[in-house]
Amino acid sequence: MNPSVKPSLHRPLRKMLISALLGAIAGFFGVTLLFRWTDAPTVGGSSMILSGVGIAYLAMALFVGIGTLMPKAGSKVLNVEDSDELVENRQSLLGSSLANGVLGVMMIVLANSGTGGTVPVSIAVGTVIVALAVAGFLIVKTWKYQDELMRQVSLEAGSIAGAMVIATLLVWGAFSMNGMGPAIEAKSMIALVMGMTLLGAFVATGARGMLTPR
Amino acid sequence: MQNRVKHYREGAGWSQGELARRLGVSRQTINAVETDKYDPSLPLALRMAKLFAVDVPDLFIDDWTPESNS
Repeated sequence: MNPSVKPSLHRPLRKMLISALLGAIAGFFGVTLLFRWTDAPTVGGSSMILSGVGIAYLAMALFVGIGTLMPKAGSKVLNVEDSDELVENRQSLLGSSLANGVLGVMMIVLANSGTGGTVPVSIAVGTVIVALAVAGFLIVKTWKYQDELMRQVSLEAGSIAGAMVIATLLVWGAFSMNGMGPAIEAKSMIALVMGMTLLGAFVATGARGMLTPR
Repeated sequence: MQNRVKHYREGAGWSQGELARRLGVSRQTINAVETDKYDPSLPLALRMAKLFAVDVPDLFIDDWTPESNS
């Protein structure tokens, strides 16, 4: 048996398992630490959901950011062919991971603001303004480093996310106005939009076969 | 759309990374084109054809035929 064949066959599976394990550990510690430091569970379900979406953004930003800054280690966890691929796409990946991180922090701050929250209104509003400005700047800046495939996937992700948000809000609104469900809370709406944006990105990349372990 | 990008790339002795570099796109794009997961834009298809010194229909195979006017 050729020993060089075996590792290459198992590499995608091993990488997928390592990624899943690290994701689970990061998610567990993220949620545990967050709820220890804040009172998110005491301010309602929508705060918990918004915190959860924020943590997902933060975890993704951390994995991609650290992976890009340490390409050799990153190539063992991220879905790339080798470390060179991370180096080639460094600017684009760093920009988007930073934008995701900023948006993640914004969601966690928002989850802990408002009625029953611990974050003052001025800090919550200030964080939103700064986060949107920074993320917007990074997204526009990153766009020029992306090639046509990534731009196409970004557009598809946006379309899919938009369609899912519209469908969910229409159904939710229709049920709610007829007394068949709870009214839409602001935090739930933010969690929905940001969560669907993330889901849209996964659906678009998955449809292009880019989630297949490499 | 089926294509013969891999055939011509390997014929030229280039890796996916080398072709990506020559075309100014990412390796992921070349991989997606070769595995039929992405149809390139017209400018990129034209550049690929120019690089391999072939016509676009030699590179990208389309089975569609126009209806006859009879």
